[in-house]
Amino acid sequence: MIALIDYGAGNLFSVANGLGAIGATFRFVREPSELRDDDKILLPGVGHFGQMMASLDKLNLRDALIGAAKDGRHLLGICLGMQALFEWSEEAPGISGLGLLPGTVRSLPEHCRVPHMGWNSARFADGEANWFYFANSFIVPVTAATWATTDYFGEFSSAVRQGNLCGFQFHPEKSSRAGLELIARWCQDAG
Amino acid sequence: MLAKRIVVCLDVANGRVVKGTNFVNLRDAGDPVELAKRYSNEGADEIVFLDINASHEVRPTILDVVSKTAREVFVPLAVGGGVRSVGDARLLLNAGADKICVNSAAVSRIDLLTELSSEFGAQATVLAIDAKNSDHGWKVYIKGGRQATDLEAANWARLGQNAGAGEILLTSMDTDGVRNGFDLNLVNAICAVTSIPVIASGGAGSAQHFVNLFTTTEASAGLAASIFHEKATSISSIKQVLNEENITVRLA
Repeated sequence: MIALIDYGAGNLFSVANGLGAIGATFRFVREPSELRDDDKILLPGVGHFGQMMASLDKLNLRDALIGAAKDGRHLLGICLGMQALFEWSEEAPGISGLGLLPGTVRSLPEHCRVPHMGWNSARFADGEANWFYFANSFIVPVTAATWATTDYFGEFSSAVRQGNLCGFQFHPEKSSRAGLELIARWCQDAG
Repeated sequence: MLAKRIVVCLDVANGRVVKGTNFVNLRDAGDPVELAKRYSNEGADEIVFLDINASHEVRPTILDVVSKTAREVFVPLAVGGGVRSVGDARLLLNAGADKICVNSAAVSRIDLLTELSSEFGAQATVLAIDAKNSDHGWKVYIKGGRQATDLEAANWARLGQNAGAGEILLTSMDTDGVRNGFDLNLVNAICAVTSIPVIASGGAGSAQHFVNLFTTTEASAGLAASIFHEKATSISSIKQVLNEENITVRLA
């Protein structure tokens, strides 16, 4: 069963609709006590890094998520939820992320239109490429955990994967068939 | 590379898609959920719903349309009409909208943009601007184009961006419905003073108009409605032409 973390993220219902469409079973989780040992965890997110971490802290979910990930449970972060897997973000200096992956989320270069909004191509490590819908103002640089890259005035990580952790910078729940297939694949891989 | 977007706009009145110009001669164009599904299958990169009757509230009929569509259509949905507060926007987002368009309400109170942006993010905050040429430059109109303001469009776009808007939906009232091409001068004027994405609207009549838009302006997207409803052309054939002109588009 997927635990869909509900801390008030704007794309929560879109993600729920996407899970519904692929026939995945899920429930909303609002506090640590609702997390079960056999959960796969999905962390949605849009908006501001600092505000998201504050919302997680308010619900005491930060330590619960870090603990669950360290116990080996599968955790998927979408958009801002992927950025939250990292240590820091230039969007909210001084506010720490979950720190499950090393690195800092960076601003896009100044001369480009921000947010990076619309469909862009993500190229995965196995060479497969597809179009996905993005809406982000900050980026995860290419790191050891990078699974797919996308070009917008330079390459950045559009997907990350390391052990039980996975993240998509784009919105698979808004990326038509290719996106839904990717969520379905994560559900399958996470067992 | 980031693809140029083809956006389809569906004007909704009392739960049905309508077509017509300037709120007169409205004719029924079909069921919004079915049309959104059809356009999404044909390659629409984004769907915009505008509740053209709403003025002071987000109405239950549009919430119903959004929530039904969001369960079946998996491309971004922008919704406008009657949004005056963070609470209104939340209703739409919870129903499954991804972006909120505001026009008149932002002109009356620019802080609304800041509030929406800090609550839901700039990517969800779309400033819709209806502009019309005059002897004193492009003037901003509100209330569905029925009321002129003193605002100059480029100044207003810049103010809106600074207040927190993450995208501009720019409609030229001069070219709207004429199908003789987008208002390229207006689009260039707005793009020149902003650094957020601009969706150009008004005047699309053929694939060549989209080619002109993307080769002569920095617009991120082009929006059309009636040409698709009337099957004058299709999204996929427009994208085919754009692709042949080496303009990056998402080919389904």
